Amino acid sequence: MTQKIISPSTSVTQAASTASTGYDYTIGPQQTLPNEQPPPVLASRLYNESLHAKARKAQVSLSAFAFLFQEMISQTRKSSKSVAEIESKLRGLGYPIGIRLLELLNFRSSLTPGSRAFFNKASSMSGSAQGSNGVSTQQEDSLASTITTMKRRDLRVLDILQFIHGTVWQYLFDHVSDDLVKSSERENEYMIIDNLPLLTQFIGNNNVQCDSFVCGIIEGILDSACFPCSVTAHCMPEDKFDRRVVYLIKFDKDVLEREALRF
Amino acid sequence: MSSGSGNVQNGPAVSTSSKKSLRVFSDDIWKNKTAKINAELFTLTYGSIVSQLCTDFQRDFNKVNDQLFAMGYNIGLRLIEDFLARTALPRCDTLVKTSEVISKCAFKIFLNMTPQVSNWSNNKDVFSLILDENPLSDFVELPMDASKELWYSNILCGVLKGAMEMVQLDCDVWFVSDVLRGDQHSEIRVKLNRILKDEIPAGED
Amino acid sequence: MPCYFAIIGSRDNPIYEAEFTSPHLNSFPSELKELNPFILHASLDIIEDLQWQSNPQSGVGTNTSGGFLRSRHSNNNDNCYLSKIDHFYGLAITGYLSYGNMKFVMIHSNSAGNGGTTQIDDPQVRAFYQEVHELYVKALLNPFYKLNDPITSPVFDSKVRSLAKKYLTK
Repeated sequence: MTQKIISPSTSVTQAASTASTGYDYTIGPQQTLPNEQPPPVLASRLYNESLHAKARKAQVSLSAFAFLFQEMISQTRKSSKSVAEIESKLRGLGYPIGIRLLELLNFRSSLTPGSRAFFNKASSMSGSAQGSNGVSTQQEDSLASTITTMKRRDLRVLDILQFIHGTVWQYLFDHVSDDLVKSSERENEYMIIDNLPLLTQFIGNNNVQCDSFVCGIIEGILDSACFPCSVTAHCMPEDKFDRRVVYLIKFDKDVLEREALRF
Repeated sequence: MSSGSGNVQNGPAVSTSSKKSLRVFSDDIWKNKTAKINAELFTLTYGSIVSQLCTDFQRDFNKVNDQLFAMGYNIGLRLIEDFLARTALPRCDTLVKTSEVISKCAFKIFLNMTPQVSNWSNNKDVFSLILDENPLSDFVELPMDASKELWYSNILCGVLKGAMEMVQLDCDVWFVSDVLRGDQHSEIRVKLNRILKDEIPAGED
Repeated sequence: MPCYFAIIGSRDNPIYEAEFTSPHLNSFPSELKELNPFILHASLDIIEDLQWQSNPQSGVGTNTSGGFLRSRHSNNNDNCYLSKIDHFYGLAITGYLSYGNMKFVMIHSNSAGNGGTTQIDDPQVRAFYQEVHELYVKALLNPFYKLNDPITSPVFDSKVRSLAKKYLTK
């Protein structure tokens, strides 16, 4: 046995002794050295600020968003040669947002209302101000330590669709979606329906489906949750809802096979 | 009916009472007359745009800065109309007054924030907006290669430039510091070059 | 106990790795240290299977840290923390899945260094994983971070190491 010999064995230690340079995949895992000083508190707003929804500004004006969204679309138009290219670019801008929402919203759902983190709002706000000065001395505001049970990962098609129809829609558009329907013709198709799409209400009628942005968000969520699919938006006015949009979600065959096998 | 006009340089400072009323006035518009949306969706969407631009311009961050500014400029040209329609504010007779309207009213009713106005030049033609918070830059950590070049929120400068131009104020607007780069504050500098006389639309005032 | 920790992306690529030791502990013996990535990789198949089980924590590990420890926390039926998923000689391997199915994996070595069975303190290990999960969500929120890229932020690294001190290598 070679115990009692504290012998960091590989060349890795040389690099590690410079401490806190971050993970480098060309070097591999680095050791925390036995006599290492506590790492200096680095000024990082991203890592020092709370993830709690109440830790930052809740709302901006819809018009501020609309101006940004319109400009995003007009720039995308300028740099594209076809409608298909515009839609695909808008989808690409939404997709990373979906990936982030899957983690963020589920993580937040794990918080029990009234937990300690809720009351830390004030301290996290002041902490962020300190953090931006690079002199943050405040205890970091961890939400995880207040979580007793993590929200379960969604394993079934219906569960993850409910998450989008409910949690995600509520978060993005301040109302749950108007309907979640299974196609009567095809096993792998589902529809999420929005009678009053919030984001595209200022966009004039044209042949570009600006809702592709939302399609991208949905795809991002489903893809990273391991439900690969394609999502398309269809304008289908009904009654007094002349901008009603149907998001058609087609799951890959593997998803249904897994579901049949597992549940 | 616009927030800028002649006689800017040596105008009197705005009285305290009018400052207060501008704040109350703007709070009321924000609270009662403004449709709102989740600020994080705004943050994430802007993040997606900037990140995509960095890819499109192959991490030439000066080009990204320019593109963000250009997008902001286009927005500013259109946004001023919305702003005037919602506030019905009278023409500002000094740049001091204009700066108050920008910080207490425009930032408030669009982004629900109120930057501080400070660092006036002696002849009152240059001022700074200090952003204590910034919904555009939440969740952001600049990559090493961008931290000296990219002005992440540069779209704001473009918006100010475009909007002020529409009310006959020819300005330069630029970031001098950003907390994302490790600076103490995020500071936007606004410099009035001249007042455009030629294109005042008929029916103003 | 010394630990080797990694976050594995959806293409089975490591996006973060670290080794935790402390003053009164041995580090991994050098011959084992080089094996760590391989031991860990071998456990990925097990995680991919547990990923789709309704109650992944009851699926394996009937020995060692199984029934008894868990029954004390029986109300905790989340499916992110997978507890002990595998073992390799005296080493224990635990796992955790984020909502975007990033695989968090850790090899725990027996602190006595005598090749005996490594015991897993589930509440502590779970707490560690949940806190790292929170850091991962923050890293992901950064618009400049692309899914499956290595997380190179020094702040992330130093925070993970502080968490290891707090929960694992005391």
